[in-house]
Amino acid sequence: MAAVYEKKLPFFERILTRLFEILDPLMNLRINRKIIMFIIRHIKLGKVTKYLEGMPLSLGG
Amino acid sequence: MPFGYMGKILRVDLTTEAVETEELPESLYQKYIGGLGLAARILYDDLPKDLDPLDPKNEVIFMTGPYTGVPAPASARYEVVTLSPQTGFLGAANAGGFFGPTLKKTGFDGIVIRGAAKNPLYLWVTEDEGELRDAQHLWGQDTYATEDLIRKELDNDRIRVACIGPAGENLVSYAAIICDRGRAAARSGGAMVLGSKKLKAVACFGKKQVQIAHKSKFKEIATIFNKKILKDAIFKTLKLYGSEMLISLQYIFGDVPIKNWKQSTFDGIEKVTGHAMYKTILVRDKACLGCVISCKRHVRIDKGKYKLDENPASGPEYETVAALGTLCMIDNIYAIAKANDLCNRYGLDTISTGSVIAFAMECYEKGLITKEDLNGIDLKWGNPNAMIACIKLITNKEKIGSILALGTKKASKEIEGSEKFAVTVKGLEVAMHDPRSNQMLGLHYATTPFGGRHSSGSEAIATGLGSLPSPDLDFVAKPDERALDRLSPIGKARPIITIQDRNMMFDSAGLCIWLVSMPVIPTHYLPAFLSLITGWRMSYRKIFLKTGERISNLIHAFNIKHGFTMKDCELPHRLIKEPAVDGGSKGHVVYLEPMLREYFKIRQWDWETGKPKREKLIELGLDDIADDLWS
Repeated sequence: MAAVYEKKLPFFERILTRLFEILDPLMNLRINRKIIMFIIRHIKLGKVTKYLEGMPLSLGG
Repeated sequence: MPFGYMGKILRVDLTTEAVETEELPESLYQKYIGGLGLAARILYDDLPKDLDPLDPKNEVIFMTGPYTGVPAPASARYEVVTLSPQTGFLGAANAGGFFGPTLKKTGFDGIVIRGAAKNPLYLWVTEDEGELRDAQHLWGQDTYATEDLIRKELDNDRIRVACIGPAGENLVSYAAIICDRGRAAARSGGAMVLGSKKLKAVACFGKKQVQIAHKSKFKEIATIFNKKILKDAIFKTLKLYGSEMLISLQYIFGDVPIKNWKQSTFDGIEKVTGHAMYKTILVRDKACLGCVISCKRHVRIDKGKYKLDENPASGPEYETVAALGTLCMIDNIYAIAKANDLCNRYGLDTISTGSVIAFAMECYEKGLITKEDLNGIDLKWGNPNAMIACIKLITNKEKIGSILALGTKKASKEIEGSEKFAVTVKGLEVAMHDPRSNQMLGLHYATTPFGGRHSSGSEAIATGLGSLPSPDLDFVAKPDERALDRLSPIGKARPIITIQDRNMMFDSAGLCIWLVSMPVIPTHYLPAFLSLITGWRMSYRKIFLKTGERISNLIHAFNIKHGFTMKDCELPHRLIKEPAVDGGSKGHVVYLEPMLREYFKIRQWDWETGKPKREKLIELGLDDIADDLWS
């Protein structure tokens, strides 16, 4: 019953699918949640400083 | 005729079957832009106080904006505005696809529909004219069949159709208007109002071109935007996984509602992610007219019990996966895709439908409704077959379906003991983002004039997920760690006001929020882009944001005219009294009152009555509304 995505994926998208293949099963792990929260909190605060200096916006996550 | 517009609208009275053209002055376009803003002004002027949403005097307005149909990304949106049967206030929904640009190519910026027909009709709009036609043979057909039959009857495959399905005909309060096989102007119950008017569809075809003031410069900038989008990592992810691209991150933050908002964790979550859909049923992405973003899903299920009637078909987006999936504890992506297909065909809002079913599942668990009420359906948490059967029950208003068709809030009043299970704001089911994980979103839900709608405050979601706020939000002017903390109520009012005013502009201009929710094209570029279309000078703060603020105040004044009180800012019990039990916002509720007080103070809205202050309305050029509210 599995469908097949009709397009051949370019390099970035291929890497992305492999990344999600690894990350998705980890979603319910407490340690995974803590690591991601830690990274986001620190990236965000770090980028605010850059941002105030007129750097372009970017997603903290 | 101003640049970016066609300069006129079509007015249709279904009672007298009169179809008339009305030219609008440029000043009106300039003041309210188009789309949501222009439609809200027309509705404010046309509707009397204390009107029942199903009264023939209510209007349904289809309206495009200056950005609709121009050769640029994210330019295919049109807005549907009416007095909502779900909230009793101004209801708005928008959709992409091909209908909006095609409507504009007929030479009309919009259509205002009032009255009620004796027998089913549909409206056929061609270049500079409209005609009402018999729709007896279409009544009872689903939205896909309706589209096919109209094209066949008019012998033109390029006709675009926006129509209601059996749910709208049967007056289900959260019925959706569907165009282009699965594009839904879903929220607020506009399709129920069309059903009460017995208008089955609006079909259109035209070839007129939108005139752009600075065409070559506009093309140059649009090409740059397209190139930026195609290179951008986030847009590449959006193209591959659709609006489900961030579900993993949302889940970790506690943003994804589960088990009728009682939980934030779910063992089956990895089976319903964007990646799970990619691995199983996704066959291609799909774009609206002229857009390179291509966020729409096309899926294939050609065998098994969840086989789709047509393959490939429109696939579920994040809101649908959450509403018909996690909210009901369902982790079967095939069943969710089937349920999504049924909602598209019957013409139902998937957010409200999923919310109502999750509410019914909780009632069933607590013994407030029985198997007999449900025509034998075992509506247990996580039962995909029961969820699908329940959609049919609601559409046909069979058994308990007739109560569930009223929407969660009204149903909770009919089912004794269920009031606390209803998660609605102003009567509209809350969209699939849990505000306990993001205080700014909580304030948005309480203050947006449309009820529990997320898209009018979309950037609040991104900010809560760790995205950096845009430069014009006051996080930045006065950086404060607490203001950046998604779980703190401090400093949330000013940024959400700016976000809401900006979104009013996007919905009025005909811009898709994907273009403006992403960092690749900073929001403050967009007024300049609109200036190239219209030829009007449009500075960011003094004109763009001010016009957005005018539209926000206009819609709020509309709601006051139709009975708004401070009670309508309340959030449901589950979000303000029941702390999240697990996940990324464990222990938190929405801390509404301090945020709300700050919001009203900044808006200059009266805390007791909710009315915008007279001086504020006059400052925004809404003198006549100031007289209405304060005389």
